[in-house]
Amino acid sequence: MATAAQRRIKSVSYAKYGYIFILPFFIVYFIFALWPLLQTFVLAFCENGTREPAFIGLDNFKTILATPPENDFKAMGIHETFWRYFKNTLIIWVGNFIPQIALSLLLAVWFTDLRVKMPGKGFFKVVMYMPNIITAASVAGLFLALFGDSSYSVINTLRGCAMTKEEIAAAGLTAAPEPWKVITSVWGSRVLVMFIQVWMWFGNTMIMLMSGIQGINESLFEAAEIDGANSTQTFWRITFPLLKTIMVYTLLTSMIGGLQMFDIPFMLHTGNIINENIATIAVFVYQMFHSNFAKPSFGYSGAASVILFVITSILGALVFYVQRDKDAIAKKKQRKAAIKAAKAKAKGGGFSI
Amino acid sequence: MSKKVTYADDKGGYQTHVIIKSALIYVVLILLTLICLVPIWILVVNATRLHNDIIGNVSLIPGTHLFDNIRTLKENSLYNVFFSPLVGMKNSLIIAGCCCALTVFFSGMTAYGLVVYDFKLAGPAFVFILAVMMVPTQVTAVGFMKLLINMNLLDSYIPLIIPSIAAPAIVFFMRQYMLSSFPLDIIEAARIDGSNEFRTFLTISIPMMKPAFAVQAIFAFIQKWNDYYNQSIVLVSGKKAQLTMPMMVQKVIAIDRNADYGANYAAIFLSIIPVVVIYIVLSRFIIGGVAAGGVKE
Amino acid sequence: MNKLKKSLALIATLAIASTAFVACGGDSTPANDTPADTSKAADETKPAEETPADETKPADETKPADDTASAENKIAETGDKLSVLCWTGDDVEKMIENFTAANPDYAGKVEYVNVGSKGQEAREQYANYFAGGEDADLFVLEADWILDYINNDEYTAPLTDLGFTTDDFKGCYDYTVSIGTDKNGVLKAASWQATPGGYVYRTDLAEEYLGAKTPDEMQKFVDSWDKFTETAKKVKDEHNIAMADTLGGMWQVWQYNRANAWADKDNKLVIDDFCKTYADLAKEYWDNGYVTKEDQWTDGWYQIGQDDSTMGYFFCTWCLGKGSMLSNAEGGEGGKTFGKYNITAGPSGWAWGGSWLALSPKCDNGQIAHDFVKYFTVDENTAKDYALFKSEFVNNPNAMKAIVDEGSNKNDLLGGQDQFSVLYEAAGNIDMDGKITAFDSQIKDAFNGAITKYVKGEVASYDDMITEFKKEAAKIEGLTVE
Repeated sequence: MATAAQRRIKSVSYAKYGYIFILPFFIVYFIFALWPLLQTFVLAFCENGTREPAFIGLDNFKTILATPPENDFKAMGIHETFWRYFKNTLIIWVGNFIPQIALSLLLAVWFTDLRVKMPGKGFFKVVMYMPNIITAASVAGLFLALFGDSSYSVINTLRGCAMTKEEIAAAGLTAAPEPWKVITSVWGSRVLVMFIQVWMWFGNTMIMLMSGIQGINESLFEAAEIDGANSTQTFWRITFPLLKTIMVYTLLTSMIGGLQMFDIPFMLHTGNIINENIATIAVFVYQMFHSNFAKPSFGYSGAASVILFVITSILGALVFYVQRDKDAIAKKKQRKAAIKAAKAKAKGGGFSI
Repeated sequence: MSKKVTYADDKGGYQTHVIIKSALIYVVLILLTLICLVPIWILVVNATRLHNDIIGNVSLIPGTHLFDNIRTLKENSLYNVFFSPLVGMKNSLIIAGCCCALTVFFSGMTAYGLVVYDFKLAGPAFVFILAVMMVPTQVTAVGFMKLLINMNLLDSYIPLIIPSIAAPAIVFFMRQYMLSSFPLDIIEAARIDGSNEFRTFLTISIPMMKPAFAVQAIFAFIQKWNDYYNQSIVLVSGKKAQLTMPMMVQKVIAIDRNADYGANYAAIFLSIIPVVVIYIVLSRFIIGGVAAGGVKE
Repeated sequence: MNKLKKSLALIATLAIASTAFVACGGDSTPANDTPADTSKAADETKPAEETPADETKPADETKPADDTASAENKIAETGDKLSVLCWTGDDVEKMIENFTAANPDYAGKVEYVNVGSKGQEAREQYANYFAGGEDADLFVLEADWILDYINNDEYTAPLTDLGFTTDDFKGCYDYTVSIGTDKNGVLKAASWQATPGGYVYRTDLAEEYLGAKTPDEMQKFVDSWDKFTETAKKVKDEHNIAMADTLGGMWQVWQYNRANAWADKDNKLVIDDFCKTYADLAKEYWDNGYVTKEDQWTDGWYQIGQDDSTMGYFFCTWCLGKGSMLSNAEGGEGGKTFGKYNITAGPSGWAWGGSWLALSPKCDNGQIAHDFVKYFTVDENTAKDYALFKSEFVNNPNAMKAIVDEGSNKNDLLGGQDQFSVLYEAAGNIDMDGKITAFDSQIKDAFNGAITKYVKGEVASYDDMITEFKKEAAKIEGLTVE
C-alpha cells in the first residue's frame, strides 16, 4: 500500500486539476467581463461625441493629462475637472482608509481577544455591520437630511437656525445663527464623505480581519496566554504576522474600493449639479459616459478608466509585493518540506490522519 | 508570606487592569453602536410618521402611521404601479441567493485550484485575477450592454446571476485565507487515502474553509441584494413582475413631484427587512461559532 | 492539458480580436453625422421659426408632399396592448384611467410601462429598451432632452404616420408644436400640457406688510423686476423676510426670458447680456437676503412656506395640484399656511419644463395610439375634462378659456382662487421658438454651477465666473466655446 501511494505521488501530475478548478471562473470571466472590459478600454482610443466612435489614438489621454493650450476651454475643462476629481479621490481615500483600517483592526482584535470576556460581544459585532445593509442611495438621502445645508437640516435645526421670529426674540437674539453649509463647503463635504465611507465599511473590514484572526490557530493564543504575554505582545508577535495575508487582501480591496468610490460622492448633493469637492474619478468616468445621451464622451470616459486602472495596478502591485515575497517563499518551503515528510512517512509505512 | 501578598496584589492589579480595559472597550463599543444605529433608527421611525410630520422634523420616537404609509404604497397609483414588496423581495431573493451560492462555491473552487495545485499557469492566472480586480466597474457598462443585446439577454436574470461565478475579489480573499490557514498536508494525506480531487475539495476543504465561506456568503448576498446599478442596466423593461427590491426603492426615492415622504421611508424600511433578517440569521457565523475552522490538528 | 491551454488562449484571443473589431469598426461609417446633424438642425429650423407663427407650422412648409398621405393611419393594429412608456406614472396613469373610462372598448388594452426612475435615466433607458424585444408604442419625452429623440428617426416616427395632419394640432399652444417638431420640420411629438408659471405669495403677509388685499393689488408690487426688487428690499428691511423662495426658482423665470438660445446656428455657445444681468441680480438677491439660501426639492424649500420667513414662490402649473409642491409648502391639508396663498402673474411670464408624447417606430397599435394622442392633445372636450380632473393646465387654449370663463375651477391650496385664470394669459405668451437647443440641460447646469460659486464668493469676479462657465460648458460634445 505504501508503495502504491508513493507511486501515485511520483507519477500522477495533479496539474490538470488546477486547470479544471479554475476553468469555470475564466470561462465566465472572459464572456461576461473581459469582453465588455476590453471593448471599453478600446473606447479610450476612440473619439468623443458619438455612439459609434472611430479610432483617434492617444488624443484623449493628451487632453486629460497634458497642460491645456491657452483659451482652449474644452481642454481646460476636461483637464481641470479630471485633476480636481483625482485630488478629491486621493484625499477622501486617505481620510477614509486610514481610520477605517485602524478602527477595524482594533475592533477585530478586541472581539477575538480571549482574555476580554465581554457579554454582548455578538450583539456588537452584528451591529457594526448594519450600516452596510442599506443601499447607498438611502444612505446619501439620510445624511443629506441630517447634515444638509438647509437651515432645516437636523444639525442646523439643533443649532437654532430654523427658529421663528418669535423664538429668536424670546432667545434675545437679533437673528438666527447662519446655517452650517456642510454639503457645499470644501472640507465639510469631504470629511462627511470620509465619515460615511468609514461608517458604511468599517464593519465589513472588521469582519474580514476577524475571519483572518479566527483562522489563526487558537492554540497559539492559548500558548501565548500561558506564557504570560500581554495583549500588545500577543498582537504584534502572533496576530499581526499571521494576519498578513488577510491584511494584504484588506489593504488591496479597501484601496481598490476607495479609488473607485462612486455612490456616495455621486449622490451627496441637492439639485442637479454634482458636488465638485467630493466627486471622484469614478464619477468623472460616469459623467463623461452618461451626461449626454446623444453625444456621449466615451473617449474621455475610457481614457480616465485606463488611467485609474494603471494607478490602481501600480499601487496594488506595490502593496502586494512588499507584503508577499517572504511569505510565499516561506510557504513554498514549508510545502516542499511537508511533501518530503509525507514521502518519508509513507516510506516508513502507514500514514493516516 | 510577603511573596504571597505580592502575588495577590499582582493578581488584583491584573484584574483591575482587565476591568478598566473592558470598561473602556465597552464605552467605545456603545458609542459606535449608537453611531451605527441612530441613522438607521431615524429611517425606521420616519417610516412610521406621516409626510407632513417628517418634513423638517426629526424624531427618535416612533409614530403610529406605519400601516398608513404602507397603505399609501399599496393604494396610491404613484407607487403601486411599480412597488410591490412581495414581488420585489422574491425577485431579489432569487438573484441574491443564486449569486451568493455561485460566488462562494466557484470562488472557493478557483482559489483552491490556485493554491493547492502546482501548474504552469497558476502564477499568471493569479496575476490576471489580481489585475482585473483593479478595473473600475462603472466603465464596463457599455460593453456589457452591447454583449447583452447581441446575446439577446436583456431583461433576463441570467446576466445578473451567471457572472457572479467570476468574482475576482472573492477568489483573492479565499486564496489569501487558504494561504494563511489551510494545511496543505491534509490534501496529501487524503490523496494517499485514495480520495479523488473533487471529493477532497467537497468533503474536506469546504468544511475547513467554513469561516471564509460564511463571511463571503453574507457579504456577497448583501452586495448582490443592493446591486442597483447592474440590475438597472439589465432589467430595462421595468416590468413590475421582474423588478428587484432596490429598483423599486430607487423608483420610490426618485419621485420628486408629489412624493409622500412617509411612504418613501416605509418603502426603504420594507426593503431592508429581508436583508436584516437574513443577516441576523447568518450572523451566528460572524459572532464566532466558526472560530478556527479545520486548522486544529 | 495542452488542449486546455490552447482553448484558453483561443478564447482570450477571440475576445480581444472581436472587441477591437466591434468597438472601433465604425471607421467605415464615420461618426461625422453627429456634428453635421446639429448644424443642419439649426440651419433648417431657423428659417421656419423666423416666419411669424401665424398658424403656419414649420412642417407645412418643408413637407407639403406628405400632407395627402398623412391623412391615413399607416400603422396597422396588430399588437395586443398600447404600451405607453414613461419614468413616472404621475400623468400617464391618470391619462390611461381617463382614456379607458371614455373608451370602454379599450379597457385593459392600454398599459403604462415604467422605464427608468428619473427623466435623465429614462433618457438613456429608452434606447436600451428599444434595443430589446419589448412592446413600445408611445413614450414620453422631457423638454430638456426631447431633441435627442425627435431628431433621430431610429427612435421616433412622425405623428403623420398615425394619420394626423399638422392641422390637427392647430388647437394646441404653438410653442408645444414647435418644440415637438424635428430638425426637418416633421412633427414628432405632441404635448398634453402647457406649463406657464407665476408668483405664488402669502396672502396674509402681503396684506400685513404691503397692504395688498387681492392678487391684482399684489401684482402692482411685483409687475416688473425693478418693482419686484423694490418690494423685496422693503420687506427685507422692514420685516426681515425674503421675497423669493430659491435661486433655482428665480432662475426658471429668468432662463425662460432669455432673448437668445444658448447656442447659435453654428453650435457656438452664446454668452449675452442676459448672463451679466442675471448674475448681478442673483448676487444682489443672495447677498441682501431677498431670496432664501435654501435649495429646490429639499425639505427646507417646503419649510420656508410655513415659517413666515418668505413671501412667496415661483411656481408653475404642475406645482399647484393636490399633493404637489405648493401643498408641501403649506404643510398639507390642515397645515400652518394651508390655503393662505394666492397666485399672480409676477414680474415676467414664464414656463417650466413640459412633457411630450412621441411615437415609437415599433408601434403596432396604430388605432389606439391615434385615439390616445387625439384624446389628450387634440380633442378640446376631453382635454377640458382632464384639466378639471387633474388640475392640469392642458395644451388647448380653447378648453382652458372655457374653464376660466365658467369659473368652475377652485383651488383649495390657493384659498379657492382659480389659478387657470391667472395663468391663461401667461400661457398665450409662451414663445420658445428657436430657444431650445440639444445642449440645454447641460448648459443650464454649467451656468448654474458657476452662478452658485459667484454668489457664494468662491469665484471673485463676473469674468472669472464666465471663464468657469465656459470651461464647464466646453465639456459638452458638439458645442463650440470661444
